[in-house]
Amino acid sequence: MELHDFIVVGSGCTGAMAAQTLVESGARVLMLDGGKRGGVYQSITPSKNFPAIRREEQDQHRYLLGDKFESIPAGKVSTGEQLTPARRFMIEAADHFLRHRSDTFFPMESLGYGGLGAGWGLGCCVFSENELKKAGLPVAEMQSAYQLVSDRIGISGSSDDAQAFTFAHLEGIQPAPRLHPTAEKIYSRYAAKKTALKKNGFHLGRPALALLTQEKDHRKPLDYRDMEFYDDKGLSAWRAWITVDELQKKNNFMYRGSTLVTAFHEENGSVRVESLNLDTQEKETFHCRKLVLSPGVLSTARIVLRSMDENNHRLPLLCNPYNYTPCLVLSETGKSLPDALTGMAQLSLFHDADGTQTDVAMASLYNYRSLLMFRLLKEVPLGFRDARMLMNYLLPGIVIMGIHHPESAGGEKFLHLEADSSSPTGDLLRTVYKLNETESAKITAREKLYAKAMRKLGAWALKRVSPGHGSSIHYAGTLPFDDNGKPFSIHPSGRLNGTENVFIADGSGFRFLPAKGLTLSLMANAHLVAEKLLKK
Amino acid sequence: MSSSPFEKEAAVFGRYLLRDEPNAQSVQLYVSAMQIRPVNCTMRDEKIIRFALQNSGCLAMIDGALAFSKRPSALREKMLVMTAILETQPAYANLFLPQQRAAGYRILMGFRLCGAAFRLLAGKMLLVFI
Repeated sequence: MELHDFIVVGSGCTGAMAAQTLVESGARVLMLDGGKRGGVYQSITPSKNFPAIRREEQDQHRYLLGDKFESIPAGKVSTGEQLTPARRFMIEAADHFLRHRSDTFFPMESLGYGGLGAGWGLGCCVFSENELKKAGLPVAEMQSAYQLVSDRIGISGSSDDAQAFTFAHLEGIQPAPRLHPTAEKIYSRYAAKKTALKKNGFHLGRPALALLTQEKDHRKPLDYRDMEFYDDKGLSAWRAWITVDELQKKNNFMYRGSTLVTAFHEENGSVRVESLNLDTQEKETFHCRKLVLSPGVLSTARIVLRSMDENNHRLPLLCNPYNYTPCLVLSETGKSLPDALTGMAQLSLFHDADGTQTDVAMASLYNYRSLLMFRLLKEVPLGFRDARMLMNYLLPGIVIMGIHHPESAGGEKFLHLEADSSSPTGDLLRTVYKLNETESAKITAREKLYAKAMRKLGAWALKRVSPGHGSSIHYAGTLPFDDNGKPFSIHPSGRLNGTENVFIADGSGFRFLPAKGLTLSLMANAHLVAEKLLKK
Repeated sequence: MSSSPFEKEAAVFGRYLLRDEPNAQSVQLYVSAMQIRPVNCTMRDEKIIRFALQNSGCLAMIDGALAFSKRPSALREKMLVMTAILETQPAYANLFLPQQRAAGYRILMGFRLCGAAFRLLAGKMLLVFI
C-alpha cells in the first residue's frame, strides 16, 4: 500500500492552486482527476483571426460547429449551450458519472482536465473587506493570497472606476486589452455621465482578466484573433491545466486521470480514498496522510455525504442568480468591425447601492461576433431570413450584458443524495432551488436599474433572457465555515469538521457569494488552505 | 435532382435563406447533421414541414409566424441547423459578418421589417389551415 503525503482531488482552478502551493513547498502530491481532454478541435483550428477563418477556411464547420454538430443548440436555452466544440470536453461524461436531478436547478459540472476553468471567462475580482467577512474568509490573509495568485496567473486591467471592484490594490497588473469600438463608445459616454451614474451606485470600468497583454514566462500576449472561445494558442488566457501541465514536470507531483473520487474514510491517522476508474468503471483505492478536496462544490458535497453515510442530510446551496440582456447601441449599427478584437468581457458595470461594497451586483459587457450569429437568430421573433438581414445590420452595435447577483443563504435552496441504482456511483444529487419573493423582487428591481443605466450610456436593453438557475456556474456554501466543529461545516483552516485529515479547498465553505467573479477568491482560498495544511 | 428527403429539405431551406441555390457542401453537411442528430417531430410538426416543402413560397411566412409564437418547432429547429451550416461556409461569410452600410440602409431595413410583419401575419393565418 503506497501512502501519499497529499492527495488533491480535481485539476480545476482550486485544485491547481492548492497543488502548486504544496508542490512548491517540496511536498509529494498525487492529483486525482476526471481528466477528460479535448484537443482534436484545438489542433485543427488555424492560427488566423476569426474573419479570415470565416472567409477562407473550407473546414471551419468542424471547429465552429463540431463534427457531430454538437455546438448547435437544440430546444430550450440551457446551461452549457454556449460552449464551443473545443470546450465541450469540459462537460463530457459529467451527466453519466455526476448524476444530478432537479426541476429548478441546472448546474454545469466537469470531469475535464483543468475542470470548469478550461472555459472560465477569466474575470478576476478581489472581494471587498465586507464581502470577505460575510463569506467567512480571513481578510488580511486573503489580501496577500490574492497578490500571490495574481503573480502566478498574470492579470490585466485598468486603473479606472472599476478598479476598487476588480483588482483593487493588487500590484503587477498588465495593461487592459484594446476595446471593441462599441464598448469604446459606452466607455467614453460613461466618462461624460459618470457623476449621475455613480450617484445611483453604478461604476463602469475595464474588467480585470487573467489574460496577458504582455509576455509572461512562456506565455504570449493576447493576439486579438477573436478565437478565445475556440483555442488557447499562445496561452495568453490562463487556464488551470497550464499550471497542472507545469506541475507534471516536477518530480514530487503525480497526476492520475480517469479517476472519479467517490468517498473517503479516515483510519489510523491516514485517509483511504475510494474512487471509480472512468474507463473500466472498477473501484480503486488510494491512501494519503492528508486529503484536499477541490473537485467543485457539488462534487465535494457528493463525496462528503457518501463518506459521512448521511445521504438524506440536506446541505444548503448558494448560486449567483444570473440573467443576460442583449443591448443595442444604435449609433454603432451598420458598421464593419476591425479584424483584430477579443471576445472576452470588454467592460464591467458594478452596482453598489449603499456604497459599502457589501451588496454589489456585477454586469459583464461582451461584444458579439465569434460565437456566430445563428445563436442570436433563434432568439429574434422573425423568420430566419429576415432575422439574418436585421442582425447583420445590428450586430456591431449589440452588447451582451450578463448580470450576476450576490447570493446569501435563504429561500429554499438545498441538495441531498438519493439512491439511484442506474448511476455508476449508485446515487444522484437532487437539488431544490427556489428564490423567495423578496429575492426575486430585488433581482427584478436591480435589473431595471441596470437597463436604465445602460440607456444613459446609449445602449438599449432589448430582451431579458433567463437561462435558468445554476447557469451562473458559481456554486458555494454547502459546508459553511464554522469554528465550533458543527457537522457538515468547514473549520476556518479548511479542515472538514468531524475529520482530522480531510481539507476542502473549493468554495464549499463560503457563507455568502458575492456577485463579482469568484474564481480569483476561490484560488486565493485554495492557496491558503494548502498553506495552513503545510504549517500543520 | 434531390435523392433523399434531407437533401430536398436542405435545398428548400438553403434557397429560402440565401435566395440562391446552396452549395453542395452545405447540402451534404445538412444531411449528415440530420442523420447524426435527428430532430424530433410531432404529427403537427410533420404536417407543417410537409406543407412548407411542397409550398416553399410560403416558407418565409410560416417561419415568421413560428418565430413570433416562440413555441418549440421542428421546422425552425431544422432551419437553425441549416443556418448554422451556411454561416460556416466561406462562400456565405459576408452574409453573416457585419458590413459597412450607407446611412440610407436604415430605410431599407424599415421596409424589410414591414415586409416581415406582413409575412408574419400571413403565416399566422396559414398555420390555422395547415
